[in-house]
Amino acid sequence: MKYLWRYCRVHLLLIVLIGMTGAVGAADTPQEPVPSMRSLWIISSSNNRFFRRSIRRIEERMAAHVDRIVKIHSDEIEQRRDDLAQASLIVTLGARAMRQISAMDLDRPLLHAYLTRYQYLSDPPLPGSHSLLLDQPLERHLRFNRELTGARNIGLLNVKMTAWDTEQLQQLARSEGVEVEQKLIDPEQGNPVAEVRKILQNNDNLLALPVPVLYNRKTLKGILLAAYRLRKPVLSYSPAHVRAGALGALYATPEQIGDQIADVALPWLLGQAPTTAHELARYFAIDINRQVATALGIHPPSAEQLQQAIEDAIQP
Amino acid sequence: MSVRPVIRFSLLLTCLLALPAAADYRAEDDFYGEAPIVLTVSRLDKPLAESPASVSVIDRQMIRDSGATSLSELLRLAPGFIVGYYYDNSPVVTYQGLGARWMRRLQVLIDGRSVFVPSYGGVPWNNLPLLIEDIERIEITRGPNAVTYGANAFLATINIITRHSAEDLGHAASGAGSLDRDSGIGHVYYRYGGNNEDLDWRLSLGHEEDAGYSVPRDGKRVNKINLRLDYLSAYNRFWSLQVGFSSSSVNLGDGEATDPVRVEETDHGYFNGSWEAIDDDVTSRIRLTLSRQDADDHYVTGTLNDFIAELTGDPTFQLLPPFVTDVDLGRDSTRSELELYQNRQLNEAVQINYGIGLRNDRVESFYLFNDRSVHSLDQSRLFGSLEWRTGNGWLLDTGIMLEDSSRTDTETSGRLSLIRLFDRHSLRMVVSRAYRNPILWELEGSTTFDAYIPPPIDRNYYLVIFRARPGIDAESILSREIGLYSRWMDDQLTTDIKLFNYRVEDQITVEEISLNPDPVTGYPQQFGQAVNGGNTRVRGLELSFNYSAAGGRTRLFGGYSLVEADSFDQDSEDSFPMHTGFLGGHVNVGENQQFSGVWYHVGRFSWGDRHRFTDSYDKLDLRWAYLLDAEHALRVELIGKNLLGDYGDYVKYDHQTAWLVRLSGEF
Repeated sequence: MKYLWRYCRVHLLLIVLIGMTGAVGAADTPQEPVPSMRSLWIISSSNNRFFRRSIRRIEERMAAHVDRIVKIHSDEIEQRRDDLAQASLIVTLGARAMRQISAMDLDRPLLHAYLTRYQYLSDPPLPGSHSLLLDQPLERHLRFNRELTGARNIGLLNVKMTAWDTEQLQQLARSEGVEVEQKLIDPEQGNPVAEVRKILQNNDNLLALPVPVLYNRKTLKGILLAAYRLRKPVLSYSPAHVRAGALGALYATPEQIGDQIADVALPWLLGQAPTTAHELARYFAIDINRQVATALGIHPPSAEQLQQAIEDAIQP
Repeated sequence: MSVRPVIRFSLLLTCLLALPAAADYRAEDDFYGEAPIVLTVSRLDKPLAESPASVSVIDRQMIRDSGATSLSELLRLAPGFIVGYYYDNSPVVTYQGLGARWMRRLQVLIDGRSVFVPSYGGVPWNNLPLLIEDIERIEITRGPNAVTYGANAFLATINIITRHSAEDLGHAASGAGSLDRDSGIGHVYYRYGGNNEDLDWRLSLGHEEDAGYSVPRDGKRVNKINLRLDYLSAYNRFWSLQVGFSSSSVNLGDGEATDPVRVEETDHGYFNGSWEAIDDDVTSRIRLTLSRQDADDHYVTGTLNDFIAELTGDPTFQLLPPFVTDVDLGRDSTRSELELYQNRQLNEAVQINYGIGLRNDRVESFYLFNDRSVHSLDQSRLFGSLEWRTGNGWLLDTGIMLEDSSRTDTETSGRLSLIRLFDRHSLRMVVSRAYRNPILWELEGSTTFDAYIPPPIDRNYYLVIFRARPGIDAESILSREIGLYSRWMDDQLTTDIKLFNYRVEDQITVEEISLNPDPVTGYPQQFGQAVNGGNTRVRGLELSFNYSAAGGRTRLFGGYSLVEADSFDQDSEDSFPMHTGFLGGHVNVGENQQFSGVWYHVGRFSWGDRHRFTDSYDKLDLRWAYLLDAEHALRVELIGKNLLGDYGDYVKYDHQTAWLVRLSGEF
């Protein structure tokens, strides 16, 4: 018994070692020296863990193809103006970094990530830049809905700025074998919870798309409760919503965002600039809240099966 | 009561309220961050990896798997927790040790309402107006956490969270009964949930009975009713109102003259009202709670001649005509509490929590105070904490609480937690200090029995059991822990290991005081007195794991605790079993069948006020469930309890194997 504390100390050392192993693993980045003078600058709006995961993937994919990968916080860009002016490609993560670098008016290729379509439309980046949006293609969401719930009638709340063209929307819906009711609301006037209740009177599911004036910290709890009360599932764009009570979410993981950045950046560095101003998410992952599914009487297939079914149905 | 801390904190609060909140929309947080709690079915308040303390979660599935039919039994599913029975109808729960019949070192909350009974102290596990079927999960903070939960969050905090009423629509019912007549276990539950626009409600009713040990007959019968209303106004204002009532009658008494066989009747009612507002970066909450327990245990003793003769060593009493006395063990106690709380996200890296709590405890008990007046204790607390993400994988979580009582000095509790977050691991280092203020009985108690002795003595004989000593102070705990929480195998397996040591200082203990013999009668005088006795040091390690595979069709969970204690008081030292552990899980067979069970082990130890060792024991409960109708969740279950046979408990051996059948469904 008196050796207990000594025993504990051994375990303490073990814990620290495991922790350090993780730390080393987290900081370790493959660096393959390549005779190239290309420099990639990654500017983060903040040093959060999602950005770090994307950066790690970018480094894994691109370290062998560039001479330097420089990672800085957006608050440092003024001090690094001269260096940035020499960058082969500048990648920004988050709206803040996009705005700050846009304000510098550098004549360098700019690739913006971690923006939603709503942000892109309300605060457009500089012409000539390319933006990778977090939004998934709508047909992918519709297919996700069909595979997960089999529902035919889907309610979609939107605002004027991000509204889908009615004709285009119906065409997409028909191709997926569903009906979509898009209702435009003025967030300044309407009560989003009441609107959710109204739209779910006539529809089987609520499809939530990233429109921050509709779905935000203030409104989420009321919206999820309103849908739950009617026993109608919410399919969302955010895994955070799934943890909070939505049935499922279709989204790109930070690693997948890193992959997409690398997909675009590598040819760009070789002189093949993107031909469009923006693109939607190429990759996706699925989260399902199985407790909510059980409570709603839904028996979903595994996330892997769902993912495969969507990939088979919709080619990017 | 000193008001200076309140004024100081109010000023600080005013400054905090004036701080700008972070209003910028950040898509990355919207996608990958944390959203406010919505459905209790869905998630925890805080990810376990970022918790500034060791937290165990007993979820609904574990509750079902365990086959437990009482709330206290569920707590065996957290590492280090020990459950015993003083009587079969009087459960006792402690964490690691220092357990006693009236356990005052645990904080137990039901939806934020403290259920501590201020009369004896402790938790009336037996007749809480709460039905297991309404519980969504139990979050247990293993270690002191006064900064978050206030006084009594000393050794651990048990936070019981019931389901939002929107989650329980329609009718549900269940009935369970033991197959053998001796156990006499019976449970009935009925619930109805409904809604109307933005109002949800749930009414639940239950009846529980248990024949208890064979000798003495210490059975119980409890009726419970709960009503919960949840209302949403202005799309982001959430109101919740809960009221409940339980009425229990339990058999007491070992048949001796001083403890005759009798029935204690207890009524327990509560009110819990809360209002919550979720705004862009601020969440505000106000909670008002009231709990009242009235216990009626009034009886006439058997003839006391032999008892007093033995007590005094004077055989003259045996020669007198038979005499008895009237004993009133009744106690009425009320706890009312108001708490104002706000959480504010200052920027993407920093968030703060702060608030004020006011509490009033009132107790009326002739037994405890030897008078019929109401004894009252006011407490106020001011708390604040800060969570700072440094940006390079570190999370600093620190907080402070000032607690002022009308009877003791202002105490300052604090916690400093530093967490290193990796992708799959989080390493936490925590230092925490907490205080436990003495309860009213420890401060003002005067427990005396008297009996009229017939002629020729012709006067009252007084037997003093307990007398409070002026100047008793709060006891404190200083705890240090280092822990590693990890996720493995695509999150199918989570593990947690912690090394800890803590020191309880000025530990409140009941000391036997012997005075000189009564100068008139010459009889010996001895009674108990609560004193700040000394220090107890505890150290050890705890492990827990949870594995879930095949979409939840297979699950394994377990926990282990290794503890060593060194105390000024032998009873306290002996109250820590060196090893405790449990291993449980379930496996689904086909679409309709499920097998589950839990094995528990508790090492040799002594309940602190029992002064006698309880042997090491193992306990095994198994359950088989068959789903008859998926649409109505119609399920029949066969539950076997104590399948390894009898084991020793607080007082005696008498835990027989029992088989129960349960039928449940929703309509």
